[in-house]
Amino acid sequence: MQYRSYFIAVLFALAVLVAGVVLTNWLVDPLDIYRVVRKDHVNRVKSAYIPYARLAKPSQIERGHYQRLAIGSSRMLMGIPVANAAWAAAGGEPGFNASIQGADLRQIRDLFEHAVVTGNVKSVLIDVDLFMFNAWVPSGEYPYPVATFSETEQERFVRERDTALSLLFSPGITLASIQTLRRQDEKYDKVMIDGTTNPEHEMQHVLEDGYEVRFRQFEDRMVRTGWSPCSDNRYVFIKGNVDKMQVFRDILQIAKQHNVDVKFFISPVHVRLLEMIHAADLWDDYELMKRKLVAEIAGVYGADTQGVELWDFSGYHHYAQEAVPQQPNVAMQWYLDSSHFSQALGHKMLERMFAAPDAELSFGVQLRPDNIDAVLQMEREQQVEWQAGNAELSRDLHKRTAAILKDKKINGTVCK
Amino acid sequence: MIFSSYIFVLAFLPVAVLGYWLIHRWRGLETAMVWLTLCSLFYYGWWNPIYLILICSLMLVNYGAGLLIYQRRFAPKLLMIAGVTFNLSVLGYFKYMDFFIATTNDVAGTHFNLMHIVLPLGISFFTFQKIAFLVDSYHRKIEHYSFVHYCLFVTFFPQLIAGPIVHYRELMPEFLRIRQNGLTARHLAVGLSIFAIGLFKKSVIADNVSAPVGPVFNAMAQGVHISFFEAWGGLLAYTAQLYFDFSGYSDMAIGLAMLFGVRLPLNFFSPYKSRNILDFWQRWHITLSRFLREYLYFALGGNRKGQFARYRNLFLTMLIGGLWHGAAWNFVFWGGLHGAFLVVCHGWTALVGGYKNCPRFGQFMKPVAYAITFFCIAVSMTFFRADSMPSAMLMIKGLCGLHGVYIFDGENTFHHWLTLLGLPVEFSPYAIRYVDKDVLNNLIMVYIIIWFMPNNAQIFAAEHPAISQGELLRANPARRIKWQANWRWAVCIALMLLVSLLNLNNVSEFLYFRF
Repeated sequence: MQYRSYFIAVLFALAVLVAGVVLTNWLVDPLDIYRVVRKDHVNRVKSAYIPYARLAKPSQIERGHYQRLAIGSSRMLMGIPVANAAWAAAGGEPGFNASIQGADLRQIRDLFEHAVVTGNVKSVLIDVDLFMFNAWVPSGEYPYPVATFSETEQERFVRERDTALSLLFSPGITLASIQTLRRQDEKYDKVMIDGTTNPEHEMQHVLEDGYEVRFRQFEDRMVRTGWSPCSDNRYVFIKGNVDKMQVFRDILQIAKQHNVDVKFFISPVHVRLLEMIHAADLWDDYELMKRKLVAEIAGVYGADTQGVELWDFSGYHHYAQEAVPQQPNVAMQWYLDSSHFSQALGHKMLERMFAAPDAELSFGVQLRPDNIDAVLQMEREQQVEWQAGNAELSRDLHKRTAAILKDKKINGTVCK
Repeated sequence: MIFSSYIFVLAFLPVAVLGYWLIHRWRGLETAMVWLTLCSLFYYGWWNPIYLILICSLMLVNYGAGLLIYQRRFAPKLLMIAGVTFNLSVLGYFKYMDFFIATTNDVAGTHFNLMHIVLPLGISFFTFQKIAFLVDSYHRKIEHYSFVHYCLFVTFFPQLIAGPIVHYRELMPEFLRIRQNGLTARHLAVGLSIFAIGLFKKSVIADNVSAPVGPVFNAMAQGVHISFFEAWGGLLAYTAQLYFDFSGYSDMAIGLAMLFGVRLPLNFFSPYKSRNILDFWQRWHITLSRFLREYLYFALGGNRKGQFARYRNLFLTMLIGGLWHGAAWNFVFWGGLHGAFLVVCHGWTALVGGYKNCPRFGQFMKPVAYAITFFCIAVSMTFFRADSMPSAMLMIKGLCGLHGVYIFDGENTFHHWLTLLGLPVEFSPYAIRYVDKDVLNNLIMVYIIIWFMPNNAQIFAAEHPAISQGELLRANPARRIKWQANWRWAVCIALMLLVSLLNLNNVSEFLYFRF
């Protein structure tokens, strides 16, 4: 072969390969964005979606023109079914679950702004928790390009170019396309078309492991990775120039200015998690967070809180006290682990928030300045009552929390 | 605009190459060289146009000084010394001023403000080239002076930012050779293939193997105690990252130059296959070693005044070589460490005589020598990567197991084997936070490539793509894998380019750009 022919052959082969990769990624569509073809046994099951969810969600929001959005962390992702009649009736169709695992408040805020800028969203559900407001935990901007109100035409061009490049011509997405083509079994069907985690898939795994194992795994990991062993720097709302409440304020202001109906909720975590929060001396902060959220809403919306609500589903209610089976293959009705609830409970929450006729009125309460003290007082009383009736379990949870934090300190965490 | 970026690969490079070839065909070599100089200045100005003023002013001053020195009109030696001092002063100001102020503050307890000077890209490299030009002018090693040629010599973009450090007298003949032989498709075919392999090394291997490096070294900088396996995982990953980063860059530089019909000197030749530290410095950053030897070691007296002076000069040369890499004490220490290694190596060779009397023992010791050499290189890399001396020392403690040797609960077999080796192993949920099984698999794969695969100079040996590679190739000839212009290689190179282009979405800058 001549050098000249060789040179031309390399360039030709490269052009063919590049075109092939782009076309494959577009047609296979592993992140469910372009939706050109969706064939059984070919690309229907998006088996490679989950690791790329953060990359996918902004594009899915932009292309889907959704009226209803759920934006939050894994609790929302697993537990809030978008296909809920009460929410659909109030918020319109279509709806999408834009939640991401381990989302922090800044990322939720960025996704919310992106949704308002690029779509016509009317109703948004946002899940907030204690850990999102901890200023000790660093938070950053959304890791992929998202639209902002201040975005110029040029910035928009760059964002769209970079996103297209990431979605059609990147090593990760090419591998994801290959994985999608290879894994079309039902067991890989982890994400539903509305963005929610497939509950059947999730439940199957929990059942195989056994709930007690799942609860313990989650609890240990949460304390080990999320909480500092040094009580002085375990929790604070403001640190230096980091003010997590400011991010919450931003969300409120965007919602108010653009007439988006937004409902925040504090999740119905299992009593075991509440006890561990108590064991880590974080209960006062938990209460303070609720007070601050109520105050912030009042601060931004004033007396007219039309279009914004804060719901508290946490507490020692009968759902949260559901017994945890000690052996595998025995199902729980309402929980997947101490923090994640089932979609059955998610439906009940949605029915309550959107005033469905058969909603259970004793489950969940809308927090307002005039009832916050009473709600917190009631929770404290329920807590004492539960601890009295479950002294051994309570002691075990406190002991485990203390042991993990101590172990963590020995293994090199520096208290500053 | 680094070599491994879309803007470079898809826009700048095609325009520069196409323009050069067309101008060469229609207007001749001299005009094509002007085009290439303009492209190189554009490439340099892309980073920060302000520094074009600096590089152009330095070119004017140095060319004038070189010409005056060559013409012997006015005190050539004095002019040469003044020129070298001037270049070193510029380098000193930009690179070492803050280091000098900080050291003064530490030693004398003063509180001078740091100047936070931005280091112009590639200044360490082009300063050395200019110094070499002045010294060569003094020694009348340069035959032909042309301002355009000089500008191209300094700014030629394949070698401008991170070497190789070339001599005027070796680069210009390469261009002038084109006059006789012309530009041919061979230049494009070989150049593109070498560039593709270099790009693959950088964007696919180096950037992927580096995953644990940042977390391990950053944790160490924050005072976190890194355990034995994490420390070794992080260090070996960095050692491999630096290898592929620099090797990839050097290949790309040679490939790019080849696209313009020019050969650059070989700068990298499988340095982790070195049998001793002397061998290492003949394979790692070859042109820097050559510069330090010719312009510093010999200037200090070399080995003319006996063994002690030789060792002292070697040590001093490496100390300064360390400082050249970065204005920080850890770089000085790294250089000093290599100086010490070289002294020990020379001493050992003098003592044992290279096993001449006992070749069988020499054969037996060969793998040990390779292992010890790599161990020394890897450990010294701690000081090369660490942010400061205290964090480097923390890493060294981790490497020695002084921060514990932990494995995960339940890995009983592994525990058993490690205990047999005499390691005080304990179980911990914090055993390996930054170095997981994927990292381990990656490390095994890249070290197989490092130790058992031929390098580009060997693969392309028949095409002679680099200058002064003869001796190394004669000692390490190419064996099975040899490049040929055929369909198999075309597809292979196209695949490498494809994977590299895919990976350009998330590449980091070249490590040697920092120096």
